[in-house]
Amino acid sequence: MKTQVTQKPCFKTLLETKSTYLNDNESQVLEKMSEDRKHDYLAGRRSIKELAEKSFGIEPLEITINYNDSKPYFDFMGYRYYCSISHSKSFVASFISSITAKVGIDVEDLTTRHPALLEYIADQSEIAFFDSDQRYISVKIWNIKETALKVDSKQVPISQYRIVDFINNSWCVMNTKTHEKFFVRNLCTDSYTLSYIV
Amino acid sequence: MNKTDFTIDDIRKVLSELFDVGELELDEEYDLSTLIKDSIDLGELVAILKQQYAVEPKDWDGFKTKTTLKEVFNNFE
Repeated sequence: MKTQVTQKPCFKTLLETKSTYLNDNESQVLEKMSEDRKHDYLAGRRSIKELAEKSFGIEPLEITINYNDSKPYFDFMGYRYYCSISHSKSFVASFISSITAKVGIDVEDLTTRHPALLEYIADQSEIAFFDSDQRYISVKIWNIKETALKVDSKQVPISQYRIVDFINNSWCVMNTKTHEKFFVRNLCTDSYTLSYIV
Repeated sequence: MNKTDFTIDDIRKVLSELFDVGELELDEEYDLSTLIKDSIDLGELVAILKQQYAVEPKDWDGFKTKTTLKEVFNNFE
């Protein structure tokens, strides 16, 4: 399993270099997109292909990212690689696993959010887990739960997930309807919070 | 408050404060994907609307295809 998080390159740079990482099929998809979505699409493709090249020695133009049930993957030399991509305003994160399809990654910029967000996504028992550092707590809790939601693949409100424990350096997040549990690793820097399912 | 009391002007007011955009700019066909870039932006909007107007989305998946102000408003109940 490999992960990477980088600053999101500017749109101009991504466009100018797209011939180095975007194949013909992906270029056709790009052309049909709205301008707003193109930046994230290019940043995500470049990030996942950079990671594939660094980690597995796979040339960027040799792979096409496909989707199965909204989850990205690519096939190479008879193996399937499962991917997860996340964008924030400033960063792009990617995750590749050749072992399991249950991969999920989420990156969020650490910015101040309206207090209603914390009230909506967490109760007091969950907030108590973060007593030692409450800065950007709503963004951190969102980041952890969003990662579980991505792996769960259910189109349900994020408020349906509850942080129930912190075990072996992972947050245990439960879908309160199905009771399925997800173990989420989290890393915070001064500028972003990154979560992924191990 | 229920959906019958919740108007498109209410969502316009919240969007205006959240994204620092003039309410007059936010006509019914305004493409909100130009403001709501991330899922957390959408979550923040939903959270404020729930706190202030007690409304919630009918269909989370629907946000993938609903982008105009009018479509997003109609996805609340």
